[in-house]
Amino acid sequence: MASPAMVTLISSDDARFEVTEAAATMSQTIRHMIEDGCTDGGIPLPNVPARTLAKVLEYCNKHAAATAAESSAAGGAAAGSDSGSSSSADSAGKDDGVDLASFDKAFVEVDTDTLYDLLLAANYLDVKTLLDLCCQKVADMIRGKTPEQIRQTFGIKNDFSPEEEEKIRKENQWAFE
Amino acid sequence: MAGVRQRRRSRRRRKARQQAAATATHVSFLGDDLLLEIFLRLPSLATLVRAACTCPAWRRAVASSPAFRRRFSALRPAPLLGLFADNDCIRLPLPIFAAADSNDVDPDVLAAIRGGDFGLASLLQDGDAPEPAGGTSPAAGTATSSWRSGTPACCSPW
Repeated sequence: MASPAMVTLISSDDARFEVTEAAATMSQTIRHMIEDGCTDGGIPLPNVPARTLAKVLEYCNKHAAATAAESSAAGGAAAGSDSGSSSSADSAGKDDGVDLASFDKAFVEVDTDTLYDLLLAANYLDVKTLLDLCCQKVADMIRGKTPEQIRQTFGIKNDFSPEEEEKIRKENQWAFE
Repeated sequence: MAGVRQRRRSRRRRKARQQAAATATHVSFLGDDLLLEIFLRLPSLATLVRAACTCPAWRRAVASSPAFRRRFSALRPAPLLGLFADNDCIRLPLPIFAAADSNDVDPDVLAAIRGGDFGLASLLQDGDAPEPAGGTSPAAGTATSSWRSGTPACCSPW
């Protein structure tokens, strides 16, 4: 079997990452660059620092591998090839669903700064499932909290004057009961 | 003068870009678009209101985007707070408001029912015939139903 096509990504601080094309093209931004033939000498990603890119690629590698395992399990079962390994591939495919969900959950168990970096990178690189995951994580951090608790969680300074805050609270009293 | 200002502005912008590329150390780095993507995933309007009350920037982000508010409410159909019903037996000037069963509704909706004014008395002061109207709470629409016509009507606060 031919080795998978690889691409080189270059972070904003000039670190180089070699990844499979399948993982890299989970990013629509990178997919378009590859389609446009802009891959010579590596793909520069001036908005993504190495630390964040490494984390994003950890996500993409895991998800791309799970997708590949799923399709090869389906293909293997259909063709009846790889005797002996197709049943184990099947069960691996099933495990992947559970595995991937727990991977995702653990993946966003990070400090808020890392989460913001991931959000910006996922947005810039256009990795929709990662953007969804990170947005949902932040939304979960907001839910069930009072404004004061939200401020504490995200380190937000309360710029409202006491009069303003009182007025807003009165106008929206129903949401605070 | 203008050139200097422009240069200064572009330098500032470049600096902001470099900072964004290096690392985002505060939620305000995310910008309004990402913030609204996050808000879109909040479970209820009450949660959104509490989030918007956190700081002026978040409040502005929600208030300045009618498109966001449309998307938010489209994803969450307004819960039923209760029904207005004409009552021919007692001959009241206004329809009666019957609140939704408190056992079935979530706490935020219950708060909206408690906080809303569904008496419709203000309509009488205007000298007009009572018409379907929403309560003062923006949490949900109210369904208005006339027993005679049997046609329900719904008002949305958005």
